[in-house]
Amino acid sequence: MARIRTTKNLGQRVDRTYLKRLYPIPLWRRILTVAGVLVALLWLGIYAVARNQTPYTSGALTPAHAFLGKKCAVCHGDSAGIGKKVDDRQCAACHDGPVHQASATFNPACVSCHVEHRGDVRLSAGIDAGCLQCHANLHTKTGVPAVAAKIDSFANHPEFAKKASSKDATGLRFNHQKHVGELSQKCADCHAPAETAQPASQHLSKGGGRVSSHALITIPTYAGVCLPCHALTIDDKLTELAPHDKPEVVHPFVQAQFTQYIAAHPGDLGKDGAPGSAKAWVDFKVAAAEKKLLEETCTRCHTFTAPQGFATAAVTPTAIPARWFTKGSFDHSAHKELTCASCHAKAATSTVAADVLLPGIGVCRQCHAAGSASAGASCSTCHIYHDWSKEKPVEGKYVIDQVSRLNP
Amino acid sequence: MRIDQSHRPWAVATVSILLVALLAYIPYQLFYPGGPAGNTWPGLCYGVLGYGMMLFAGLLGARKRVPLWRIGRAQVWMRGHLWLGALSLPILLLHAGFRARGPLTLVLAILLTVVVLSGITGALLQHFIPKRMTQVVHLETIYEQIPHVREMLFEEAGAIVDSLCAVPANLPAVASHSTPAAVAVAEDSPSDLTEVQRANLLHVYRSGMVPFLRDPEGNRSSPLSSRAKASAWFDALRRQSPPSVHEALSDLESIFEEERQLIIQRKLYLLLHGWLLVHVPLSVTLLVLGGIHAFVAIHY
Repeated sequence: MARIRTTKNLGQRVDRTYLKRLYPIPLWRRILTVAGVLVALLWLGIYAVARNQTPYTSGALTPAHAFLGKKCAVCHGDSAGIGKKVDDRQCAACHDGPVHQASATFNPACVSCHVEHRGDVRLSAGIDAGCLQCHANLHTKTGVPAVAAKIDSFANHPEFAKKASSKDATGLRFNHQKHVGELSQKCADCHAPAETAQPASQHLSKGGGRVSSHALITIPTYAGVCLPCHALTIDDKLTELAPHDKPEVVHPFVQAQFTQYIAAHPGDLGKDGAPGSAKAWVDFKVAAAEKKLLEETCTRCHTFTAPQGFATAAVTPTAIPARWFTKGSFDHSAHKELTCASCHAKAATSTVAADVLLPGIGVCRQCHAAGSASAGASCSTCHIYHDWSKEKPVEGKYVIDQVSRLNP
Repeated sequence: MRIDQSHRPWAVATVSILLVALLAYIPYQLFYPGGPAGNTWPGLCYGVLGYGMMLFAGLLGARKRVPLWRIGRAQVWMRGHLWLGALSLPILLLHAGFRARGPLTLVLAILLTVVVLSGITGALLQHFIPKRMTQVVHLETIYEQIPHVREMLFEEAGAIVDSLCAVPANLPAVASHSTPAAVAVAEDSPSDLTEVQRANLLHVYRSGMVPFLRDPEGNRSSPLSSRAKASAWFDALRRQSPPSVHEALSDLESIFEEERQLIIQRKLYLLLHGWLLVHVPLSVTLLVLGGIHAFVAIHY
């Protein structure tokens, strides 16, 4: 009899109890499902027992805040909820954040610029979007912005204010071309390397921006730079040089020098057409020396108004700024691999001190442009938001035990 | 489920939602202070949308458990599961801003990726394998019945051999005949085999057929595991036997053909359903952890 698969045959083969049993795949599916959920809950449970909320972090904290990583509530507070950000008061518990500008129409929340949970970033730098909240279309309480009203990127940043002005009123006479070109002097001969620390007062810009102590180039001084070539010789008979000071200080010094000289050398009285009495000899010599100082020596660098002679001459005040970028924080030490001329190209041909030799913003943009190969073109590369001149000291509130308990 | 023309509305809706989500993401990426993140309002919207899709996809399991619930057709649920489940991955990537910075969010991102990829793999398998099964497994049975059917095939083969070797009254039966087919065969037992042929058949049965019938998937080297070799094997048996037993030998041969098809069916079934061992447990874990993440993230 041949085997024939009829419906009846097939039906008789079925074990009707099969639906009551769990077969391998459904059984293992259930086992693995329960196991998967249990493993996940166990993982979170272990952290919960240790009162450690690390698994829920939305990203690594900056190193300075890393010790807070296991206790969300330290920053987020207990009253956290949907759409709520970290309250400024939580930040202010440890940090002072001086105001930006009194004329600002609003003060953004700390976290709108200082975005945490992004790993090892410079949190103090803030983010451009925070600045652009206002500066992309600036409105102020006064109604008249003191800076450009529409800046949305470094590419659209206006020219530096100092550069935009055509002349610099230094009050000095100086010829860069003569020194650099004809005398082949190097920039560093006069402009001290940035490694020389600056007085602390110069570390704050007008806007309160902090810069490193090695950021600035020192201001050339007469004693430090000019003296070796430009000695303030009073007279061939005197070995002392005139002090580099105001005329009212120089005048009595010169008088005293000649008085001492003639007292020691009375034989010079009446010689070479000079008067025969000591007082008249001193007056004669002082007048000649001061005339030379006024017309040749001092005038090389300074301008005067002297309607009644040297003693009462008024020297035009000099004004070489310690910081040229008063609203930014340029750091020379960060650019020390570059030659001076690569940015200050016009220095070699400048003949008057009033020439503004700052590089224009276009020079900066050669490296500080948008893109992955950029040296950085964010606002915080040059600017600092808070006016740190108004910084209030923060008094510590914690002891080490309290802090270490946050991160057992 | 085959992915055919009937899926077009779902495909169009899925692509449209994805395009809208991507277009909305562009200004969000460019202009939102601090950039995209899960805790921003747009990020939360993406998160709620993505988790909603995951929940809908997960509810298919509940819908299957209670088939009598009249909440939409099962086919609609299945299509929604496929398309919205797949869409949840890009939507949740937009939610996270294409980053996973925390331990829980990293685990969620990995789980979601594995779940969606395993789901896509499963959908492709479900699309192609049933057709393949129909083509190569003509004697398909209910998968869970395969062990039971194999027992019955073993009995049936024993009954056939018994019927061929049953003339001498003192010869012990090779199998007990409990199944209807085996009883029928045993009762209809003419045999013209000589004693030598009977002994030979019994030897062949015990040494060749029984090991294969007992463990068909563990005897890959048996000639009976291949249709061509089995055919040659049975042809040789026929040549050594009188024509009157050829039909019984053909029945035996057909039993082995059914066994081989059950092997193929089992393999295809494991392929067709094995991915669920990854997809389902990880999906449930993902939903649980996703819920915890949502609660904690919204709280803080």
